[in-house]
Amino acid sequence: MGQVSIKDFETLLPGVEVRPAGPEVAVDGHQPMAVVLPASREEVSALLRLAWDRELAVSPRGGGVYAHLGNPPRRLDLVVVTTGLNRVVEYEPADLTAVLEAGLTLARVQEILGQNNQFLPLDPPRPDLATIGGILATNQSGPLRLGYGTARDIVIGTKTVLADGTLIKSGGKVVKNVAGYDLNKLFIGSLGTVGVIVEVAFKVYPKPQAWGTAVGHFGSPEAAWDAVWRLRASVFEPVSLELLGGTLGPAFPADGWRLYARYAGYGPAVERQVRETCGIFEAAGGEAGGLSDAEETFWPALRDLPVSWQAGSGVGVVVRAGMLPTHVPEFLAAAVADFRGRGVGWGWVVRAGVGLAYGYLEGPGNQTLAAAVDAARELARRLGGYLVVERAGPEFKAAVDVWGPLGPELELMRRLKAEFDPKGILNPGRFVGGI
Amino acid sequence: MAATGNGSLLSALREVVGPEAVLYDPDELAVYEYDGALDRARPDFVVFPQTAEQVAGVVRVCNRYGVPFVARGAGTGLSGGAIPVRGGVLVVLTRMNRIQQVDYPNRVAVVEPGVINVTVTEEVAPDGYYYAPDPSSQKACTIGGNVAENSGGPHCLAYGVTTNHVLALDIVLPDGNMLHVGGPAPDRPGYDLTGLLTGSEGTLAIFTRAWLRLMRQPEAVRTFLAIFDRLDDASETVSDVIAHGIVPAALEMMDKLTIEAVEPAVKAGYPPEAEAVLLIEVEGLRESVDVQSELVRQVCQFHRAREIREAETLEARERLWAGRKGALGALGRLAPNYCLQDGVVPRTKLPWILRRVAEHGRKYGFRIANVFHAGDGNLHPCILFDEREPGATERVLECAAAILKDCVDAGGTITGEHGVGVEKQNWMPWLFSEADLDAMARLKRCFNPKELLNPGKVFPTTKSCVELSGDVVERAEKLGIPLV
Ligand SMILES: Cc1cc2nc3c(=O)[nH]c(=O)nc-3n(C[C@H](O)[C@H](O)[C@H](O)COP(=O)(O)OP(=O)(O)OC[C@H]3O[C@@H](n4cnc5c(N)ncnc54)[C@H](O)[C@@H]3O)c2cc1C
Repeated sequence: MGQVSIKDFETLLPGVEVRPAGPEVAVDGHQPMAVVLPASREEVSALLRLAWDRELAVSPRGGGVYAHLGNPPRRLDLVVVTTGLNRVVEYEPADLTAVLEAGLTLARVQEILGQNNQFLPLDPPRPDLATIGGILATNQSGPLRLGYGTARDIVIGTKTVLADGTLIKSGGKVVKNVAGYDLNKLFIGSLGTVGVIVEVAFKVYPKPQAWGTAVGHFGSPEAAWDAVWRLRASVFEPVSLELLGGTLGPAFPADGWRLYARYAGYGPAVERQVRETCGIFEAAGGEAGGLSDAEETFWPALRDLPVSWQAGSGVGVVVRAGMLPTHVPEFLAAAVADFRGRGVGWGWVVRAGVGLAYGYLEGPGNQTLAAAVDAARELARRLGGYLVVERAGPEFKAAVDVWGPLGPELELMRRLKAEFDPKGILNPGRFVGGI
Repeated sequence: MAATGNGSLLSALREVVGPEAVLYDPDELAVYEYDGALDRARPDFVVFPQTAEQVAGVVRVCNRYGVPFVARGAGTGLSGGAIPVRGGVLVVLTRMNRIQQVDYPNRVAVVEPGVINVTVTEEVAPDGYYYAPDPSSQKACTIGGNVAENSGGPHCLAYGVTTNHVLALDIVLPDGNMLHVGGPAPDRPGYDLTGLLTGSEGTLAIFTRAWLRLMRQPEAVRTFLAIFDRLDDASETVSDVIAHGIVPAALEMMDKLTIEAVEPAVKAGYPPEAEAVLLIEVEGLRESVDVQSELVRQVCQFHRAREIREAETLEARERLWAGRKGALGALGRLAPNYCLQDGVVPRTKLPWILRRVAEHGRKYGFRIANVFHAGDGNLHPCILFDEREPGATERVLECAAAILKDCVDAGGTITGEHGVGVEKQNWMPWLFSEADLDAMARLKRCFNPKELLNPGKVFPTTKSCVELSGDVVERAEKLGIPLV
C-alpha cells in the first residue's frame, strides 16, 4: 500500500493500539498491513478518517467467527478489531432494553442479562467469540430463528461510524420509534461495507422458565416433512424446528432423517407441547421421544455446526439456501440426487419452519464441488430462492461467487454503497455484486 | 384547462388510468387536501390506478412533466404524510385492494397496497390465522399506508410492528421503474431494502404489493380490565408487569377523561369514576395463559387495583376492545378539535411522563386525554381544543412540542408509530444531529434523487406550515389551476 507505515500510525493516531498483522487476521489469504484495536468509538472514527483520507481498504472484524463470509477482498490494508469496544452503555432491566458496545461477545452479553433473568434471543455460532457487531454485520442467526427472528427484529438503535469517520446514530433506545428512516436496517447484514457498527440498542427478553425438545426419527424425508406440516398447522409454536439428514459429523447420527422441535416458556406448556409433538411425529410415521440434556449438548452443537464442521479427507463447503418452507423438500430431493451423481457427500440442517437449509458438502476436489454448488444454486433459484456459500477456501471462492446472482435490486444496492462509501474503502469486493 | 400546458398532463394521466380515474375538479379535490392530521395541501390531480403498471405509468408521466406526486392510502395518517405540500398528483391506491394469495403452510399473504388492514385478518381468521399489526384505525387504513408508516397497534407489544411482518415488496421507484425487493425467501443476501422502505413515509417508493407474515391464532386468550383510583398506580403497574418478565399480547391504558368520552359513546363497561383502566390481554397455550393471568392479577393487586374484571365471553372481550378502538372517535365529541400526539418513553418513565403531560395541560390550559399503548411506553396524549378560539392552534402545537421534548429528554422519541410527516419535521433535530440527518438524506438520494415523490416531508425545513400552504397557491396560479 505504501502510503502509511505502522510507524506513521503512532503519530497519526496517538494512543490507538496498532499491531503488525499476522496470518490469523488474513482474509481469504489476503494479508493486511496492520491490525488496529480501537478502544472507543472516537478511536474508530479517527482511524476511519485516516483510512478515508489515504484511501486505505479497511475490514472490520469482531471475534473473527465469520471472517470467512464473503468474496475475497479486492484489496485490504487494515483490519479493525472491535473487541476493545466492550462496555455496557446502558442496561435498564425493567425497560427490557440494553445499549451495548459492539465489541462485546454474545456470551458476555448473555451473562450480564442473565443476572436479571433476561436474554437476547439470538443464537448464532460461537457466542464465546462472536461480537454483537459481527453478528449484526453478517446477520447470523441460529436455531432460535424460528421463534424470535433475526437481529432486525430486536435491534432498536445503532451507532455507526461511516466510511469517512462520521459517527451517526439511527433509531434510539425505546422499543417503538419511527422518527426518520430506519437506517438500522442498512447496517444489519451489510458485512461492514457501509460503516462500522460501534453501538447497538436491543430489546431484550425475559428468560423462558423452561425448555423442552421432542425428536422424531423418520425413515424418509417425505415422512419427516409430513410431520413438519402437521406441527406447523397445530397451535404449537416451537422456537426451533430443525430437520437433520445425511452426514453431519461425529456429534450427529447419520441414519435417516430426524426432526427436532424445541419449546420455551412456562413449564406445563412446554411439557404438554413436547408430549403432543411426539404424538404428531408418531402419527407421521416416526419414532418419537423427548430429548433430555438437549439444552446442554444437542442445541449448542447444532448452533455451532456452521463453523465447527470439518470435511473428512476431501474439500468441504458450507452453504445456506433460502426459500419458502414448502419449496425446501423439492429442493433437497433434487439437490441430493444431483450430489449422489457427482459423488459429493452431503448433510443438511433445515430450519424447517423458516425455509433455510444449511448444507455441509464434501467433494473430491474444488471443481466437482463448485459444479455441485452451481447446480444446487440453480435449483434454489428456480424455486424462487437463493443459495449462499457461507464457508469455503480461497481456491473454491476463486471459482464461485459466494453470493450468487442478485436481481435488478442490485442496482439500488450499488447506489447505497456509492452514497455511503464512495471511495470504496470498507470491505471492498466482499459483498454482493462485487460491492 | 385544455389551453394550458396542464391540459396535456391531464390527458397523459387519463391515458394511463382511464378518464374515469382522474379527478381535477376543485370541489372533488377538496376531500384530498388533508389526512388525519391538522395540515392541509391540495393536489392538482387525483388518480386511481388499478395496477402496478398504471402506477408506474402515472409516475412516468409525472417525471415527464416534472410534477410532484404523492401516494395515498385511506388518508388516516396522523402526521400529514399523504398531503401534497407542493401540489401535483395524488396517487390513491384504494382501488388496488385485492388479497392475491393466502398461503398457510408458508404463513404468507400477498396483498395489494389498498387492502384495508382488518380485511387481511378477516380473510384468514376462519382458518385459524391472523395478521398481527392492528392499528386502532384498522377498519379504514390500508396496508400500503401501514408499511409506509411502519404502523403499530395494541397487539404489537408481543409481536412487533409492521416492519417485523413485511417479508417483501413490489415497488414503483420515483423514476417509474418497477422492482421487487426482499423475499419472501428468508434472509436474502444484500442490503435489506424491504426494511429500509418500511417506515419511509411514502418518500422513497410507492408500494404496489406486499408479502405479509401471517400468524397462527393462539389456543387461548384472556382479557382483563384492571381499574385504578390513581393514575400513578396504573402506570406503575404497566412497568411492573413488564419488569416481571410477562409479555402480554396487549397492555393498553386509558385515563379518566378518555373513559368519560368512551362510555356514553361505546358502552364498553368502563367505570366512569375510575382514574385509569388498563386493558390487558394474555394469550398462548392454555397453560401459559393461566400462569400469566395469575401473575398479571398479582401485579395489579399489588399496585392497588380497585377491581380486576375478566371478559368471560367473546362478546364481553369484544366490548372491552370496542372501547379502546373507539376511544379516539369518542374523544372527538368532547371538543371541536383534538391534536393527537405520539411520543415514546422508556417504560419505567411512564409514571413521570404522565405527570408531566398533566402539568403541560394545566400550563397551556387544555384538557388532555390519554389513551395509549402503555406496554410499549408509547403514549398518545390527545389535546382537546377549539380552533375557533384565537391562538388556540398555536398553543396546542406548543403544548404538544413541550410534551414531546419531555419524551426526548426521558430517552424516548417524538413518534412511535404515526410518523414525522410535516407535523414533526422541525423537531427531528431534538433527536438527530446534522450527520444523522445527512445519512438519512443519502438514503433518500438513492431512491428519490429528484424529490418528485412526496417532497417536503420528514426532514427539517425552515418553512412553516403557513408558508407551505402559500406554496400551493403560488404553484396553482402558475399552473393556471383555479383554487376555491
Ligand atoms: C382514529 C385513528 C387511530 C389510529 N390508530 C393508529 C394506531 O393504533 N397505530 C398506528 O400506527 N397508527 C394509527 N393511526 C394512524 C394511521 O391510521 C396509520 O398511519 C395508517 O398506517 C395510515 O394508513 P393510510 O392507508 O390511511 O395511509 P395514508 O394516510 O393515506 O398515508 C400515510 C403515508 O403512507 C404513504 N403511503 C400510502 N400508501 C402508500 C403506498 N402504497 N406506497 C407508498 N407510500 C404509501 C403516504 O404517502 C403517506 O406518507 C390512527 C389513525 C386514526 C385516524
